[in-house]
Amino acid sequence: MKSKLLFPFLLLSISLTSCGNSTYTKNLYVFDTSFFTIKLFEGSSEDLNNISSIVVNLDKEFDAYKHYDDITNIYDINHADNYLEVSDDIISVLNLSNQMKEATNGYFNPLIGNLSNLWKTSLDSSVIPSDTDIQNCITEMNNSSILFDQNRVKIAGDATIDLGAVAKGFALSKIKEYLSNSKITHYLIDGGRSSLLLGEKNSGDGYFNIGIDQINNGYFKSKNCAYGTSSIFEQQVTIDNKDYSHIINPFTGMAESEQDLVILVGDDPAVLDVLSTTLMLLPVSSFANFESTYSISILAMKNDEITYQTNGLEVLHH
Amino acid sequence: MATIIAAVAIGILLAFTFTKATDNLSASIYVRDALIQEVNLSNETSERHFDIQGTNGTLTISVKHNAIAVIESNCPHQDCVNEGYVTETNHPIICAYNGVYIIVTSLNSINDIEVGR
Repeated sequence: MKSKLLFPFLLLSISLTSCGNSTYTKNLYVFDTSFFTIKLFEGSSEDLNNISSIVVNLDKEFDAYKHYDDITNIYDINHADNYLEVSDDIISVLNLSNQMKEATNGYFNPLIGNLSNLWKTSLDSSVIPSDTDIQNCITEMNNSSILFDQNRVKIAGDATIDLGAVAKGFALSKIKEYLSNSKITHYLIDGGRSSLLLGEKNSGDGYFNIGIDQINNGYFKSKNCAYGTSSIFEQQVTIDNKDYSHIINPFTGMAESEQDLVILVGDDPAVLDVLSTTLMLLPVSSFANFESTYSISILAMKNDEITYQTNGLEVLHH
Repeated sequence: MATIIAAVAIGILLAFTFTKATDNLSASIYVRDALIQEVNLSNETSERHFDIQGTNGTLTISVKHNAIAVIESNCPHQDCVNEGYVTETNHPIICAYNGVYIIVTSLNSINDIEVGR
């Protein structure tokens, strides 16, 4: 298993905008090469530091590649045979993961760790994993489960947990909770471009312009909502003229997607994070059900064309 | 005729105003929590190289007009080098091994943030 060097970068900058308003900004390098940018248009540097602590702590707790002496994390769970006592956040994210596994009929599976690592290691060496290795990982995954005993967790079976499809969204959910409790309403939290949490801007009508990278001059106008996005364009690897994405289908074991890009807009960042990955694997004919169940808006693209767009989700053009 | 010329002129103006953020770029180079260097890429007139010290080795950076790239690194996976030249915003260059990240920003961007990459 490839070891991972994780560098939480703390960068604090305070800039004073006109009219005496303060913007508090912090960049964090967390969750396996994701950049969180926290922008508060109100509040204080203490709020900024508190939010930063939430993210940094979750980064350690959800780390599947490294042990930390001061906490019990996903790495520890993956390497233990017995029950381990864990934090409320780990219990919450694993409970949510099990629920979403049911809701997506298994297209999201938190026990995909071995399969994910197989692909990461193989693609790093510019080779495709063998069918045998892929099938072994799928069998391990299907024969394993996450067991709970109050605040203790263990894995039954040989599979391992990978929270890559939910960690950033879950972190945004915790930030949203903090902001709500602190009555801070003007903010933009960027969870590495794939997950966003929007309050309101400090100017104009409070709406943010959210540019859509794959649509020339296209953008959404949004406020007080969250985004979850997945695409093949980030972390894509080409081998023998074939493109492989970082999104693995837990049924076929292959790193291929039905969609090129999925953008979801809704209220719950954690659910959006999970569903944006899931919908990459599904045909658009299945999207309406998720739309209504979770009250989300969906934009999907394939081969530079929009293949699905929720009624009322307007793509504007500059 | 005057109307046509005016329309073309307006179109050109709009094209320059509302194009994707690929011009008037600047790059901020960080090593861990420290801002090491800022480069106004729009002022670069020819290609030049310089080295920066990461946490585990040296990276060679290349800059040219509205573009930046890591062209040499001692990192094992070379993800940063394989990115090539970045010529737009919403496209950071990361060298996890050396703790280096490079953010490209544009004064022209009228979007608050971009998604979909």
